Amino acid sequence: PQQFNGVLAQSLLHGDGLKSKVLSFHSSPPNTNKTPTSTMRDHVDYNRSCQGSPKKGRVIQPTPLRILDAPDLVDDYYLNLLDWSVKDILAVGLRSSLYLWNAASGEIKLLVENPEGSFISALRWIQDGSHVAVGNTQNEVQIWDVEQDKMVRCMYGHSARVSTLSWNDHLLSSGSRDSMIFNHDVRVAKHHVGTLKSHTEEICGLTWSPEKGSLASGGNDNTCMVWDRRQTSSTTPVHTFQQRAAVKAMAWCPFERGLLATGGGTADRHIRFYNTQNGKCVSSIDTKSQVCSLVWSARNKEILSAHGFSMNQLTVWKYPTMTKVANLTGHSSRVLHTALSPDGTTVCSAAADETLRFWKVWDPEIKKRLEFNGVLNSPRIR
Amino acid sequence: MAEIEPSKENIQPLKGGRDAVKLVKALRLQNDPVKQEGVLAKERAQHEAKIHLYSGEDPLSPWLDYIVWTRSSHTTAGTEAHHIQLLEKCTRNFKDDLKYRDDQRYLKVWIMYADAVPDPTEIFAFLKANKIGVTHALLYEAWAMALEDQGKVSKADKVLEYGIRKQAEPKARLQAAYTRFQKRAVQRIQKQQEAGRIESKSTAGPGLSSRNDRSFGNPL
Amino acid sequence: MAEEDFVITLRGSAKLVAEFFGYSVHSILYQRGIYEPDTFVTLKKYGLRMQMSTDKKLCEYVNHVMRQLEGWLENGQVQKLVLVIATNKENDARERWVFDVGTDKAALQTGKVAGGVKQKTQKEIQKEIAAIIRQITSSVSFLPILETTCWFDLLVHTAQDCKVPPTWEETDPMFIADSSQVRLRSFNTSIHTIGTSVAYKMDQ
Repeated sequence: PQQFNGVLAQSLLHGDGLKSKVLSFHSSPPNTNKTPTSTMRDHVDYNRSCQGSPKKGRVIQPTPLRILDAPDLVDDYYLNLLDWSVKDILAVGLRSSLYLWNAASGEIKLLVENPEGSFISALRWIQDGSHVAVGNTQNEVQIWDVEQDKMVRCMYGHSARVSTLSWNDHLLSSGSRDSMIFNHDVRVAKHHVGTLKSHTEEICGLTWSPEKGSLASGGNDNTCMVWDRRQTSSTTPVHTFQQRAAVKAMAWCPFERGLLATGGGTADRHIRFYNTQNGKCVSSIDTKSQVCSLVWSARNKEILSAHGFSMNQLTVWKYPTMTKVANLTGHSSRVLHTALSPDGTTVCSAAADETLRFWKVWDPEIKKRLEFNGVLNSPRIR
Repeated sequence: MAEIEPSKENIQPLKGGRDAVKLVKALRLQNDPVKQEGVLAKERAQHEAKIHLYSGEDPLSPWLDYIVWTRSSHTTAGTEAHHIQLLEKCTRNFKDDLKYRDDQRYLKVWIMYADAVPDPTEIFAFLKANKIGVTHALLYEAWAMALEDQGKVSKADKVLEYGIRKQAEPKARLQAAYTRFQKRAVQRIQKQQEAGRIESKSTAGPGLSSRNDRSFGNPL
Repeated sequence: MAEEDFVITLRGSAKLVAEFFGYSVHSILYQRGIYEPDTFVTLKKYGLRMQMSTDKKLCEYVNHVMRQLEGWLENGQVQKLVLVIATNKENDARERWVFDVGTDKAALQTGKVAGGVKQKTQKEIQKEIAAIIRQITSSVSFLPILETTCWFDLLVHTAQDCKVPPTWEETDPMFIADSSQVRLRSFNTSIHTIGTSVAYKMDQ
């Protein structure tokens, strides 16, 4: 190896012109005939004027119902800082603080205040809305009882910030920058019951399927993986889907069993649909901009995507034709997170412009989400 | 690259690219928000002092340095509300200065500003009326692009034609832009014939006014 | 070939490196938008989702260069492969993707890895290659947007004593003045070491 490095060093040092010839093949590569996609703007979306316009049909109110100030919302793609509970409480992480906003009364409560220098990096409501799981930059996973306003558990184990969380009854899965997914059984003292280890970089998306049989995980290693509930600990996911950028946006279809939608980051920009029963990609569409979040509507058979670098918009698509129903614009910086109201009508978007916007997108679900989620009783947390 | 990769989704691509060294520095700071605030505040103050104390021939140059610094020290535009205010201040500051009327650097600041406001076409109309940057092909290119983005294709066509007639420089560049524009127009018509169309009206967000008494949940 | 039977030879290494170059070239051309994106198809390679051009002429061109490179790699004559992206009209280089090549001297003599050197498995090599391709993909986060039509060229830096085939010619290295440079990961096959970097011109 010594010798070897020597040769390499030599070629690195003297490669440029000194002891070498520069050769090229006589015939040139073919001409490109390409219409350059010119824009004066600072983003990858160089083709937006050519995108299909929304189709005629249902009209969605193009302005938000409400805008709330959200100072200090961290502009970081990899975190998950917004969730809406079944009890109609919106939780949002603003740097070191976690706030609750009661959508019915408008009441605001500061639930968590982290010590100086420690930030909230993930949060997720338990199914019945009695507790919220909170991940932070001190690598902890905490569970807070919102009725009693107190932390009931603090779980350690990750060696980097906790970026994403997902509940499956009494099982809480946490994904971290340490590239590992931990399964915690919140009922027992020895909470760490398993580790899913196959990603090689930060986990930024984690979501259990509606019937609770599969866990989808997405990471900065450009992969989306699907795990079976029976795999408490594993290094081999059931499926590994390769993409071209980080995968944060992931949402299970509420009306077609085993269908998973994913959204890709800056270099990918696609929404892809996977059949997780056979592991095939069913379809995909290039959205021309970073996809940060996805929300399904069972009632309308539509999917909403939230976008980053480019127009900072929300787009509503008809599934499966993927025709555009509406573009919702107004955020002046990228949209980082979205959450759906428990009645399935309203999407809240949190953006790097430090505002929350509420969009009335869909009609109320006929079948309540409550019933769909199955088991609702909260596990006893100790 | 080892430091860029873990944060790749937090880097907003810039038209002109990013300086790798500065990018890594900005990313490192981002992982330490408390220190980041301190460092950025200090550097910002230095730039402002330089503008204030400048006594040379080219008072625009410290402004340009400041703008370049703002862009390279922040990996996304979202975190920098000061940026748009800075562009606004800079453009206003020299708008009556004859020396900068035909200065391409000054025009570029205007274009960046136009890019950051809800309706860039108003800015371009203002520039034309005030004869700022009107000898540069860049103005007409940017203007036409903004119009094209808004779906005002025939207006965009007129703007490019006007620029060519006024012999904006470099002529070849503008001509090439016009050719590309026409190609896209043809493609668009083809696409529109395939899909029916209705334009959803975009709504302009509230401007980045300074919000002093900020707290979570305040209705805006 | 079973994993444990995998023994890399000089010839095998040259083949592997040339193949890596080929896929990298296609990836870069796609990522940088040099050709229409819809002329590319997705395929799986190195455990990644990659883009390959379907343009017949382009594929022929790349394949030809890679075949020639493979021969030179076997002789240890390649110092670097450079993919230059330049604007059509003014011919000025905007981006240079540089693959530095180091060759193990002992292996050049014997055609195989010197005794005592730990052999890499095929899997390990593939993993290293995949990491480079991933970095090429994510380079869009800092590279300038190429607004005008660009073309590309492949330049091979060879040893001074390298025989120039009739269909090849000596050419200008097309350096970029005042460029910004980012070093990507490297990989080695135990015989060849490949260092990757990209130099680009900023436009502020």
